[in-house]
Amino acid sequence: MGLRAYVLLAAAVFAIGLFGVTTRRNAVGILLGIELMLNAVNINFVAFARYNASVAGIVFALFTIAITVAEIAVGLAIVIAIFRVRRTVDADHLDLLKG
Amino acid sequence: MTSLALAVLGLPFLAFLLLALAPPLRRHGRGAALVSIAAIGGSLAAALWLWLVPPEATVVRRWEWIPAEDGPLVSVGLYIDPVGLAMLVLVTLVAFLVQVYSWAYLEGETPPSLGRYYTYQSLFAFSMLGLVLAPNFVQMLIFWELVGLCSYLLIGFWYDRPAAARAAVKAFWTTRLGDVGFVTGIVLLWRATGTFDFTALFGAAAAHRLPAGLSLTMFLIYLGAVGKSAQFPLHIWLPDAMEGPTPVSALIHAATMVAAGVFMVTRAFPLFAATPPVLGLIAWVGAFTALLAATMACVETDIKRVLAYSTVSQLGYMMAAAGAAAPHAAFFHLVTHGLFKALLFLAAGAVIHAVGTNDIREMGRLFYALPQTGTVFLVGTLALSGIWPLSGFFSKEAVLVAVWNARLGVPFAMLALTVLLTAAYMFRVVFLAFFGDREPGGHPHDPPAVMAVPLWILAILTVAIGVRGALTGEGGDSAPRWLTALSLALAAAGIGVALVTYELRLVSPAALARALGPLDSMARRRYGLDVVAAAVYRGLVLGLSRLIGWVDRYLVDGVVNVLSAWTLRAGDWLRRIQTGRAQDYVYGVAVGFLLLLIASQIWR
Amino acid sequence: MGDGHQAPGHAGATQGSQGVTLEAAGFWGLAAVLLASSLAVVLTRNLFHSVLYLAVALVATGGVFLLLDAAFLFGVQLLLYAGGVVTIVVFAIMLTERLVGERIRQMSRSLVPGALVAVAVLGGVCVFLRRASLPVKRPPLGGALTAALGEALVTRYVVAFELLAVLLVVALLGALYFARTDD
Repeated sequence: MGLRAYVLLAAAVFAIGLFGVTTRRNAVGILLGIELMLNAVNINFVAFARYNASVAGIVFALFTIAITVAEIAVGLAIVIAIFRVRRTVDADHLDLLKG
Repeated sequence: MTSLALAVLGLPFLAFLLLALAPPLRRHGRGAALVSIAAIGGSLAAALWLWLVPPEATVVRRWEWIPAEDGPLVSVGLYIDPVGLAMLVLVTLVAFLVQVYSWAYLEGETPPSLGRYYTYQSLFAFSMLGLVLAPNFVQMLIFWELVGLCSYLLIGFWYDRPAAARAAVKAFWTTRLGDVGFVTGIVLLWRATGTFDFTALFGAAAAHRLPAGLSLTMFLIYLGAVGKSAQFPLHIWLPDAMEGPTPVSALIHAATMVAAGVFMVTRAFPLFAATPPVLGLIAWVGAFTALLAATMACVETDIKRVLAYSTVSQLGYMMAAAGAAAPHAAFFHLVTHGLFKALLFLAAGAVIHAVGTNDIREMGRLFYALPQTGTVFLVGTLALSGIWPLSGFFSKEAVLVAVWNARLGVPFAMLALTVLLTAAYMFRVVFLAFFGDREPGGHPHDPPAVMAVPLWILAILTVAIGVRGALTGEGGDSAPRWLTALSLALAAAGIGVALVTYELRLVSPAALARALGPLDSMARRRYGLDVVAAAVYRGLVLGLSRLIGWVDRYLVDGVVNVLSAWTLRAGDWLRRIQTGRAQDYVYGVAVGFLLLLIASQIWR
Repeated sequence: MGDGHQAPGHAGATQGSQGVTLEAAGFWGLAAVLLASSLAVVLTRNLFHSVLYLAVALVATGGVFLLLDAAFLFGVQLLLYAGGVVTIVVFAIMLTERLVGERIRQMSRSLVPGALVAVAVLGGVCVFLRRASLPVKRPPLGGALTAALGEALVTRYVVAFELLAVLLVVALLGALYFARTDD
């Protein structure tokens, strides 16, 4: 079975997360998709760490989790702030940077 | 030797450079004049020295210029032979006298304008001298064009006068037309013989080693002379060129630039001699031009225009002599004509300066008001009419002898008739302007010394050359008695006609005009040649310009405009990628990643 | 980059068909749960349900960590992700949904291009994996993971560790700033 299976699994979850990011309309839904992608990355790290007998991967995964938490917190704060101003979290309506 | 020749050529060039690059000096006016006059004076001294102590044989000095595989393609340098030396003296002398004369003639000009005038004068002197000293066709062509440029600049010197500007453009265009033939001919000659160099070409001609079929080539080269020396039909620019200041007319359009065509034919005569049909054409066209211009001079009322047509006519004489295989006669007439025509122009300038008008109908009894001017004008007129013992008599006789000996009957007849007409129209001017009944307006007086001395110098030279000819019998020994008698009789007849019509008033000019009816009206209208030329210009040249303008606006510009429009449209379209939605950008990142993946696979 | 520290041996040793079967069964089960819940996260219309499915996915991931002998990480995952993150998201949904007064409809935009790209990315990675040679057997674990992890954190990765702390403070402040009401 080996490493290949874990990497494939991580890739599949990553692809699903990517799908979620690009197709969800709600801003929070997009953030959920990002969560999935980061999760998949973590699986990858830990799998490589195990199969290469290295603790570096675990450390990396730990850091990733911490940073993800911080990112989610700030991201949601931004979503709430936007919601207060524009009364919507529909990503289709948040296009002020339209060229 | 070489350094003297370089001095002749280089001094005016240095003056030009100095005046062109130092605006303060140029704008000073009088200072610029002094620089220019000093330079041409030095040039004259060097030319005289060279001429009086001539080298035994032709001296040629070359510097390589454009390199080619074996030997240089083109060189620049100096070609010094007796004909060239005489021409150098003529050019520098007349240029010097004209520049001195201009000091007083143009006293009404503002200093910057005067400085500009002398800058152009120095440039012209340099260009003309370079043409004379050219050892090959390319250098001659370069200076040929430079001389044309100076002519344009000096005809249009008073550029705020529309007539002057038009005349300058007309001169440029017309001579350019001839120059097209000139350039083409030179290139064809090179194709046929492989060289531009005179020495090589003349050597080949002497040894009969020239390739056959050069008639077209030499005809094209002759076209350059047609333009520059105002032969029919490219003579139309010379009368209009009188819009320029009179000293300019004297220098450029009488003595030197227009003589460049004749000089070129004379210089390249060994080549022309190898193509007899072209020579014949030259003689015919020359004689015809002489007659045509003389008829037009008879009806002109502007004194400078009369002299201009006279110049065209005399240039026809020179060309006819060259075409009659007598280049020495042509050159002799070139020199004498240069001197007395310059004299006539400068004297006319003095008259215009004193009276304020060019119209001879408004002049009268000027001989008594301007005795010096009148005297020198009379000397010039007698020389032009070919009266013994002045220089013009000998040179004209040489021309007639040459044409007769070449068995060119009709040209000879034309030239003979022209002798009569020349005397007639010139004395018409004399009788109307210098004698007659009209009192001149104002208080005309003789010109100041600065203007008078050049006049006297030229007059003395005219007489001196003539007297020398009479004493040594030079140029006259091959003339049959009857020819001499004929030419003198014709001249006398011409004078008589003028006397009878304009002085004694036995025959009224109007009656004479009626008697010669159609000829008179056609001559007044210049035989419609100007109209034809203008129509051709408008139709062909401007039409071509319009076509090219259309191509430029709609095709060339159009391409650029289309490109820019497409760029804008592409930009507009690409703008839609920026939707402002972060999701779409993530989408873009994913697609980009995919592309990178694929690319990396392909480039394994 | 392997260092000498490894987690102590576990029942999931490489030898013995018994361990392989156990590990494989665990893997396939967890994989099924993970994939199913992930799909549910991105496809469910109701956002609340989406979050719940995410929680399931996160727990399944924790299980995978356990399979990979990273027990500490399993704990961290449950605490922070399944616990903290899910809680925050629920709160955020509540805050942004109530005032609108309607259920957030998750009518996703055109699904097909997104699906295509996702499948393409997956395909690309698979193609890569074909050529790569990845180890099949696990190397033996040496030592406790947690101890090794702790030691690595304060020796080799101490700078990153400290910076992470700074990052957390910054995130905290940022979140506070964004979430405050303007008085």
